Amino acid sequence: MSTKEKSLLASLIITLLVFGNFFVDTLEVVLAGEPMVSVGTSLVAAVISVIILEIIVQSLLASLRASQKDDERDRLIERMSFRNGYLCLSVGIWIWIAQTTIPTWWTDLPSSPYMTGALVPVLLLLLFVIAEVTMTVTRLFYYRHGL
Amino acid sequence: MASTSIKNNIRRLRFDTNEMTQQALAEAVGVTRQTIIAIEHGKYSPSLEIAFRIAAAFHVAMDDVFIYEATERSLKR
Repeated sequence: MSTKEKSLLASLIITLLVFGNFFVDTLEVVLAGEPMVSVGTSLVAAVISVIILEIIVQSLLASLRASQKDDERDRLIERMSFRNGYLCLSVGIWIWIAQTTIPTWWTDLPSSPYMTGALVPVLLLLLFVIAEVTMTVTRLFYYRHGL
Repeated sequence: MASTSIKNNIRRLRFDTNEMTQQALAEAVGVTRQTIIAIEHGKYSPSLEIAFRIAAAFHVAMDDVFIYEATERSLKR
């Protein structure tokens, strides 16, 4: 496994652990019907944790081996991962648009109570995290299995 | 595993060129060692420019490095 793959794998694990924990905690708060006050603090803590962990792990990996410049294969894999990440993000956005607008056209349709208020930024973050995870998994897949 | 219909003789050519290492070839061509490994194992088809650079690194024609094997699947693409 190359240093680049190790770095991607580390990023994937950090993202899944930290944000996974955050989303599970948030889900528990929502299902318990508790106020969303603590979610904001948890969100800031999750983002700061990811930044700190990423800096530590990536610095350790960089110190193990001299950095290599990206070549055409790296750029191609990156472009393909961006394409898949963008696809995920746009599917999520379209679902979001449908979810929020369709009930306003037909008033007899109930709108989801989870798509409003303090949960909106959390769901948007979930969308970004899914897109980010898709990009990382795509890159890892192409590095391991070839193009 | 993804594989291409372009085969290559890089492994043999490296051996014939004083057992050139993958790292040395990568430096001569201007790509990473991982890319040379991927090309050698048929997991990645390089651009024309890189293919020419690989041939130049061995002082041979491109035909001597890369062999295109037309398969039914590749013709349908």
